Amino acid sequence: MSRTGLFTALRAESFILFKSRIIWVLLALPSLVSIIKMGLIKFSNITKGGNIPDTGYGYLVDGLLLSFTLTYLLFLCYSAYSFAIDCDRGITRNNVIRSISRKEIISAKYIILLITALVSLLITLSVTWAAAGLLWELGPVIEEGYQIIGVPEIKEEISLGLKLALIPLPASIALGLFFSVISKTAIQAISLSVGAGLILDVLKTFFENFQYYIFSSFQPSFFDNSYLNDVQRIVSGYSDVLIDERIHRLNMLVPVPEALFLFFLTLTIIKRRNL
Amino acid sequence: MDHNSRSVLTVTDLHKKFKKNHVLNGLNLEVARNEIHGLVGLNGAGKTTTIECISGLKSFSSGSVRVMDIHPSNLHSAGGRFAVVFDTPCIHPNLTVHEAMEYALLTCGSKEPVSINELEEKLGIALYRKYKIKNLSLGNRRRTSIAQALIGRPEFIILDEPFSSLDAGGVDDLIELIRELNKNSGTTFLLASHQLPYLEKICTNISILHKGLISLSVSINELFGMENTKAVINTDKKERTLEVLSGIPGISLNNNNHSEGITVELSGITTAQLNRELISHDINVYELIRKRPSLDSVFRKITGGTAHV
Repeated sequence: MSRTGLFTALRAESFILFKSRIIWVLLALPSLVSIIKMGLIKFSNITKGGNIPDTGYGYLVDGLLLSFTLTYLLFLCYSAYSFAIDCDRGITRNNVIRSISRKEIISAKYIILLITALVSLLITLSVTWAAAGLLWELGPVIEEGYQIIGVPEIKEEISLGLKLALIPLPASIALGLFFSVISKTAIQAISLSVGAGLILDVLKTFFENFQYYIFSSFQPSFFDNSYLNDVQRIVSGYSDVLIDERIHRLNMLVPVPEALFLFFLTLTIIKRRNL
Repeated sequence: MDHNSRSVLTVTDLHKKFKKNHVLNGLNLEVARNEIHGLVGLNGAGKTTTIECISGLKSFSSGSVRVMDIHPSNLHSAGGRFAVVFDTPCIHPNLTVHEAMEYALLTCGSKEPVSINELEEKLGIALYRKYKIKNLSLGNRRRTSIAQALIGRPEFIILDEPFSSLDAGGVDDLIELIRELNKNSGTTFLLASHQLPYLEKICTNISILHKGLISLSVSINELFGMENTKAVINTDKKERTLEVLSGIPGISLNNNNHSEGITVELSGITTAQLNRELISHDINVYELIRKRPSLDSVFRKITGGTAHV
């Protein structure tokens, strides 16, 4: 892999991404959905007479959970679609003949997708936080006049939850690229990523303890939970949240080697694949 | 890398099979620098598969392929000296023509690319520069695809079915462009097509791909020398003409009904000599048309099939 080839691939990849409308979906959709959800909750609280206490941080983390889950699913699907559609359209053919190797194409896609996903999560975080601040007061959790958990502790928990939720991101994108190179068409790649993503999400509890050795157990998900989900309960004033240090350790250790494994497996497959 | 070697493409004993179906059975092909080489074959003969193996897009069972002394899997290292235009235009449909050209400029790998505006003018796509690719006709998509291939000033270009979906004007422009690039820049071309009359017009060399092998690989002049010249004669005395012709050495009468004239094959006799002979027998010759052997006739003889013209 040459530096020139990778640089060319990165420029080509960003050129296509910024010329397409999909970039707006990737960057704006999760934030939009999170704002809509928070707006609906606020509306529902008002119509119920305003008796429900406004624990702002709880709604904030709830919004973040939804938008992060959506971001993960979007990027899993887009990374699967990205290479497969280039193959369908024959764009990869031209690139490998002209100036970019197969490995450079995959590496560039991986880097660009990772950066875009991080930007998307940053936008989501800022927008959701701002919206929650506008809709509710972001203060400590108070029950019967006593402060149960203060703002610095809440922020610390949210920060830890976000860090732990971010760690599986590279593995998730690598999984999407893996689906992309083993699929024959873009439609097959998307179906595979949506199907496998959701099936993994639903079935991971059946793996019992082994589920903690699969990176997707730690990413925000539709059917199960990550630490971010526990944070949501903590900052909403629930006292039954159990923090398992072992699971936190696995959350930090498991996703990175799995991301590397999936990425190198993808590079190995692409080397031999017919284009 | 030997930039001055005579051959830009050497394919030796290339085998390719899809499951149990052998598509290429020991194909040998050599394209020399500055040639315009035509690769012809029936539908399904393996022209596109050959191109895909040459371009490193498909693996092959055995054999050797060198493109400008580079293995197909490393063609990206050629720095844009090699380009392929596939039968289906490979362009991002949501880009405009100008953006597609900018993308090609980004990825061409050349240090001295051609200016985008120059190419757009040359290929007749300047008018459509703001149009999205998905809104263009297939012909204009093909022109854009060819313009993309030319942006890096490649030394060797493979065009798969270059004339399909082009109108008559487009074909003439493309033929002119290929000739000009070949003459002025020394660009070598391999044109895979079954549009034989166009290939006949432009190619310096022809290879016929049949049953997974190159059955014939010759220069166009050699190809035309392979068959006897034919002539069609119309006179005032048909019966007398047939009688005279049967007595002239070097002339064989074709078995036809002579409804559009008498067709003969000439061997060792020119049309001028034939004309003189007929006049000397007091036969008035209204028409004497010399028919050059065509690529089509050689192709049919080898493949036993018809090319789609």
